Amino acid sequence: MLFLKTPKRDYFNPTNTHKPLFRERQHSPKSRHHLLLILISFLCFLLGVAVSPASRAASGELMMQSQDKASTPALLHSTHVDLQVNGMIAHVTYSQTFTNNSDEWKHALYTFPLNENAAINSMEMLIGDRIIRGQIKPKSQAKEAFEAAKKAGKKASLTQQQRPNLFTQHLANIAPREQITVTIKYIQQVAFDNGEFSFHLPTTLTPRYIPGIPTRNLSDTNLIEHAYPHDVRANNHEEENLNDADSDEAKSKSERASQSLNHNDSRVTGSNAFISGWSLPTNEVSDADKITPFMLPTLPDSNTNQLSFNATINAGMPLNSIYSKGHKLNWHSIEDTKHLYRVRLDDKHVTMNKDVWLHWRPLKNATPQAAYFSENIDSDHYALVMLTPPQVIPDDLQDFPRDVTFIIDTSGSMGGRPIEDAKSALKMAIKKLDAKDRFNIVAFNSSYTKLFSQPTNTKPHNINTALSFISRLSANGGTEMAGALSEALTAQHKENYIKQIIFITDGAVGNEAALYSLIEQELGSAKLFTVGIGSAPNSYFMTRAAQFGRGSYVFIDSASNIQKEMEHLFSKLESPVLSNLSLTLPKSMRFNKGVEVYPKRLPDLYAGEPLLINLKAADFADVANHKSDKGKNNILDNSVVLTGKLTDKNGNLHKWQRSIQAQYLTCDHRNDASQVSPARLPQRNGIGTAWARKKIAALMDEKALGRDEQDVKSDIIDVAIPHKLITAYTSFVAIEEVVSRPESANVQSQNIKNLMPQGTQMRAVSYPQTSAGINFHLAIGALSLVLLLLLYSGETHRFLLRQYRIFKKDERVTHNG
Amino acid sequence: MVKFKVLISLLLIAAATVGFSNAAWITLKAELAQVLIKQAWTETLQTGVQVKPWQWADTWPVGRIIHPNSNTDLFILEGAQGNALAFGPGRHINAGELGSGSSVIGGHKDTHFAFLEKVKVGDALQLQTPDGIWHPYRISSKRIADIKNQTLNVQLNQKRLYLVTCYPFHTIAQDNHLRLVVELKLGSE
Repeated sequence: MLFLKTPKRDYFNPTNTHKPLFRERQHSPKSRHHLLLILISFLCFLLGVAVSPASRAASGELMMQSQDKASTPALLHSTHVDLQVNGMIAHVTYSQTFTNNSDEWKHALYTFPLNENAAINSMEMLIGDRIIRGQIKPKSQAKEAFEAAKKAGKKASLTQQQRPNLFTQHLANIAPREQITVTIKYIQQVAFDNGEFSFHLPTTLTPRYIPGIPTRNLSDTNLIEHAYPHDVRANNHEEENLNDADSDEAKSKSERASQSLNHNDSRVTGSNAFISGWSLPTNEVSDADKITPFMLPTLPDSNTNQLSFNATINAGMPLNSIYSKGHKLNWHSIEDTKHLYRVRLDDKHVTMNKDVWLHWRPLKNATPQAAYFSENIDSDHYALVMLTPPQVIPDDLQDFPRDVTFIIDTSGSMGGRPIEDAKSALKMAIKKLDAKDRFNIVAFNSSYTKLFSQPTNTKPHNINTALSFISRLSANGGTEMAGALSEALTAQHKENYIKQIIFITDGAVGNEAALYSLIEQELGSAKLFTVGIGSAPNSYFMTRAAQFGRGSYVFIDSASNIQKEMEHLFSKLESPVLSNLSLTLPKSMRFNKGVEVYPKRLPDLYAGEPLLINLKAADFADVANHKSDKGKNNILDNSVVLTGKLTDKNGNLHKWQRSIQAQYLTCDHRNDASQVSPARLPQRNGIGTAWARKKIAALMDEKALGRDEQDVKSDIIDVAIPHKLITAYTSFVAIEEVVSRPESANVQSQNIKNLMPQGTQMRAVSYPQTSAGINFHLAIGALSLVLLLLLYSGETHRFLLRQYRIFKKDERVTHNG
Repeated sequence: MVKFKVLISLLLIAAATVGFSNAAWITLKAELAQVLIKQAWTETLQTGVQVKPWQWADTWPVGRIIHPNSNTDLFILEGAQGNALAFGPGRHINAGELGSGSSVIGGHKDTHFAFLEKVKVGDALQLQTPDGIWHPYRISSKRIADIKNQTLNVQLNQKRLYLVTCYPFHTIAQDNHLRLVVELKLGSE
């Protein structure tokens, strides 16, 4: 009964169903003709597709690198750096230019490195000749504002910090063929070591190892949703619209609905960007996807990731030389001003695959012993003080035997030239050990191995064992630093031995903070030194690990400077550390509660290292004024004084002292204008920013050591907002008020890739074409068959009927017979 | 009028024939080639030299993988040239050597690498290199990548194995931009 109403066709009675075929054709031959032509052309097309070379190509070829890289990327990127050095402060104007080379609208995402001391305090976006200034905002607010602008089709840019030395630049709605420049300005305290100033500019990063277990397990179904979310969501919304349509407010609702559809669209287009890095967040590195940008091998004729660089150095003293280890440059002094130098790289554009280092060395007798740079902002006084301890000759001093543990990173990211450099540095260090020293080697990747179970003396056979152990090392596997560090830190050392750990690595890890806390907890009396290896080491890890380890660091970026840098390191290792330092502030600051000095704990100083202090004295202008009225009867009362003790080889104590007079006065106090020469004024710019940056770093260190994140966050925001600094909790956002992208225009997100550091073995492989197209061929075959059957449906039925009748007849015949 | 009908029929028959025979040919080629490659591989293992599976071949076997859970046994070809993938999974020449470095193996989703649809993280997989040594690998992750956005980054010296095939598995369209990347780590790592 149920199926009674379904139309029932009688296939065995062809007369009423399929006769018209011929007759109709006679009635209207033209339309039939037409239909036939369409059919034939469609069939020709099908046949053509089936036998075309396109379908054949898919059946086998790997798309190779050289082939698919021939096309230029849709988004080009280049960076221009203009460096102005004034004394100890480098003012950097860092302009990133993004060129949309396609006919589509684009969002860009670029993860870029800077030095770990960079304090970004300005960001602006240049569109044609329009300049949009960026605002500093708490991170989440900035992100919200940016996303809203992105959806609305406004041009916007967002600069965020992921690590102190790793930043993310987002750029929304770049029109086809358009060029947008984002200019950030930052200040960076210049490093001074061993009588030499240096400025470091990273240009790319070594892909970091991410320890831990992925917290977001992207199962297949999840990924399909990510890949094809469009249809599902859009359909849902359409249904909702239909339901709403008959209500009174139909019009306004449909408007709203179309908005929400748009909103959805942009979310879908934005979902392309959900893959912002090659790693997934793990339980140990929760922001892993943000610090693992995609990498690109350096190609000889590549025109993306290019850097142009020029610098002006106002050192305030005559210079002996300016050089760079990895880049050729030329420099000259600008004639009319005495200590002003201009530096240019020989190449107009350098490929961003290795760090840029700029070093300048003053003439010997002009090397400063102490310096006081200050800046007054409102009523606050900021100062950067440099004090150089006296030069000592190591042989004159009491000298203890040492217990040295070398840790060498043999993880995969060290592959290629880095591991070779690391091995030769380590061999050099082993050979330099003293007869009374003891040593051990820990090599690690995913796990660690010790050379000796206990630190061992430096007898020749032990040295030889070590050297052959080093020769056998090869780079492979993960970077599980914690185990190796912990092993080295907790190893027992003999009494009266100085325990030193030398850590040779590229620092390519994502869990820096956890390692700092480990170092701090297990350090004891040991000192940790880091040797940074490679074209783009994680300098944030190197410098901060050495700081927590109360040691020092050197960088080796090419085979040519291994010797020099290792000697430099050894001079630090061998000469006793200047500990037990004490610092005395000027009398007027001593009892002022508003004085904040960074670093809070004075570091240990090694040979050639100066002490650098950033201080702030709040509401200081009046006090200083008052003080200066009284006159300067005692110079020391008005000076920053550093004192320390040294023990010589006879066991006698020597006291030493360095001091510099505080200079409170800047342009606010014209009564003492004679001291403030106009030429020295620009030097004082950025001292306040440098202090704020140091305070933020100190707060972040507290967080790494376990202070509550919310407390740290509010403290950091309190410093960062007035000083306009990008931090882990604040970002710059610039939004153009005009809506430029029409709603209908499609937009794509695109990651800008970083170049692989020079010399590493990491390689980017293009994906092969991996579909043989069986389904496609089957579909063509099946489609043709169905069409054929349809075409001959009449004949088929007749044929079947005939067969049936014959069969019936036969049956009857056999029955009868 | 009859002519037209005959013409259409002929074209349809031709299209169906070409379609089905192409599908059959691809499958047959994929299956048959593996038999020939197996002989070449045996010879490689015995003599230690590269052996072409048939005379005019532009590729040769460089390894063998076995995935016990799905009864898969495949011979890997040197995958750079021509249409190696039609005959077997191919080693990407831009990546590292099998066994000694991080290597990338591509394979067709509808022939040799169809088994990747069902592999699970943690599955064991054996790789044999021309020196006869079996390397025990274990699947450490499965992920989907969009080739428009990225290349596959490998660290040559990390002894990883990446099996790459098209994704999703059952579609008709050929110009797919998604890839399934199955990452394997050495059992000892």
